[in-house]
Amino acid sequence: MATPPHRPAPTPTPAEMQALLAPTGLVLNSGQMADLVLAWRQVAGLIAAIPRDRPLADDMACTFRVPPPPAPPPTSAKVKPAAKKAPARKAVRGRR
Amino acid sequence: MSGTAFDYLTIAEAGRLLASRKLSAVELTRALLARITALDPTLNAFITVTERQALTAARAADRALDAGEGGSLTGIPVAYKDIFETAGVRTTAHSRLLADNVPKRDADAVHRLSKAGAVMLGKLATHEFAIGGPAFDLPWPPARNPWDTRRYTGGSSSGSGAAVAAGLALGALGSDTGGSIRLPASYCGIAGLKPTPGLVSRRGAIPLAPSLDTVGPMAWTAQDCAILLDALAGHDPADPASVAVPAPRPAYARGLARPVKGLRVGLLRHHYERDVPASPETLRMMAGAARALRDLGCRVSEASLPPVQAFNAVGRVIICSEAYALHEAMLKARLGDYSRVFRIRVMAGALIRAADYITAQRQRSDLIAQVAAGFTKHDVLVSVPAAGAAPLLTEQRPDQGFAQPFLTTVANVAAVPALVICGGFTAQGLPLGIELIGPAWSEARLLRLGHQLERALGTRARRPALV
Repeated sequence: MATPPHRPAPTPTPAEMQALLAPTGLVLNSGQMADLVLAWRQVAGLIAAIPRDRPLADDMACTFRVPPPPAPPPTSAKVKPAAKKAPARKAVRGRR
Repeated sequence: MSGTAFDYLTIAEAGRLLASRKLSAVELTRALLARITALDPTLNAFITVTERQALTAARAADRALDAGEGGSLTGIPVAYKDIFETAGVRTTAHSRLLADNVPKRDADAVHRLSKAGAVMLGKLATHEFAIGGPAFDLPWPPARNPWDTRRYTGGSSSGSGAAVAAGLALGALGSDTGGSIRLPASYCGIAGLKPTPGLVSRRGAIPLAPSLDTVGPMAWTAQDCAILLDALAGHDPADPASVAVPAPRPAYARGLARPVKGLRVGLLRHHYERDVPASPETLRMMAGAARALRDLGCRVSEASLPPVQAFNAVGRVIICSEAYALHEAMLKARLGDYSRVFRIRVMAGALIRAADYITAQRQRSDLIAQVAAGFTKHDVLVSVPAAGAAPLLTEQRPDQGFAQPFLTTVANVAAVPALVICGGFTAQGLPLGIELIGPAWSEARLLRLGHQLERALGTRARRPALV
C-alpha cells in the first residue's frame, strides 16, 4: 500500500471557514480563527490521505466487545431435576 | 546539584541497597528532594513536590524493610505525570482549567505503585492535557531537557523524561497516545515502554483519545521499566479496555537475562530512511545497533510495513476528533484559558466529520492487521522514535504535531507494545533513541532485548552534566 505524504489542503476562504465553523458553536477571535485555519489545512490534508476504497461489507472497526456469557453452573449428576431445567433456560435465551 | 553518593542510582541499584539496609528510604528520599530543590528551578520537571507525603511514605517503607518485608519498589522514589489522579494532591494536567483540581482517589497505576511501596515525590510537567507542545502561556513553564536546557524534552510526558534523566526521580509514570512516553524517552536518553492496550489500567489518568491512550513506565534502564511494569500490569474492571491476561503473568524483571539468541529482528529501514529521513548520526547509531543485535545472536534482516504517513494520518485524525469531543464543552466555555498550542492541536477536531473519523477507525483495523502480519516473519521490529536528537525549544512550531509525521504513532495505531532505549549520542552529547516494537503482549521479550542491547551498547554510564 502506498500512502503519499500528506500535504496541507489549500487555505480556505473566510466564508468557507465561517460555514465550517457555524454549526460548532465556537466563537473565535481573529487570532484564534487564524490558528484554526492553520490547523485545519493540516488536518484536511491528513483526512484526504486516508484511503477510502474499502469494501462496503468490510466494517469491523466500530464494534463493541461484550463480555462472554457467564459459564453455566456446574450440574450435579445426582440432582436430575436441575439438569433438566438448564437446557430449557438456554433455549429461551437463544431465541431472544 | 546535591552531590550525594545516591545521585543517579537506578531502581535496581537502589532496591539492592535498600533491601540490604545499606541505605534507608528516608535518606534516599531526602537526597532526591534536595536534588529537586537544587535543579528543578532550571528544569521545570515538577509542577508539585509532595515532600511531606514522600517522607511519610519513606518512613513506612523503612519500617517494612526493617521487618524484612517489601519488594523491588519498596522505598523507591518515583513521580507521576500530572494527568494521573492522586488522592488529596492537586492534579492539573498542566492546565489552568484544572489548577485547583484535587482528586479524591488515586489512579489505578498510582495505587499499584503505592501498594508496591514506591514513594511519590510529586507531580510532573506535561503538555497541556497530554497534547500539543511546549507552551509558555500556561501557569507553569515547560520542562527543559537535562542534556541541554535550551532543548525540548519531547512530549507529552515531558516532566517524566526530564526528571528521570536528571536523577530527580528513579522512575516515572507516563502516558502514550501517539508517542508521549517514547519521544521524551528518546530526547532525554532514558527508557520508556508503551504497553499493549489493556495491560496497564488507565483508570484515573485524564484521557486524551481513549481509543489510543495507554499508560506505561519511564526509567533510566529497560530493567527499571521491567521492575515498574511488574507492579503496574494487571486487570482493572474499571478500565473498559483492561484485559484479564491469563495466568501465569510474565515476570518482566526476572526474565531479563534469558537469551535473545535466535530472535528474528526486522529493521524498519524504510520508516527512518525514506518515510521520515533520519539524521546521519541517527543512521550511524542504528547501524551500530544492528551490529550489536547480530553480536547478541539475533537474526537481523530488513522488514517492511505500510509507510509512517499511513499510520500518522489515521492517528492524528482519531486523536484530534476524540480530544475535541472530550474538551468541547470546556473549549466553548473557557477557550482563552487553554494554551495556544493546545487550541491549534485540538480545535480542528470541531470540523472533522463523523464519516472521516469512522473512515480513520476502519483504516486503523487494516493497519493493525498488516502489522500483525509483519510479526509472522519477525519477533521484534526495530525503528527510531525520532529522526534525530532533541531540537531547540525555539525551533518548535505550534503546528509541529501536524506538519511532521510521528514515527512513534505506528505502535499506537497498530495497538502493539513498543520500548524506547538510549542507543547512543550525537557529537554534541545529545541522546538518540532506538525503538523496539513487538506483537501484542510481547512486553517481556521487548524488555529482555532492550536490557541486553543497552548493555551491549554501553550507553547507561553516561549522565547529563548538570551544574
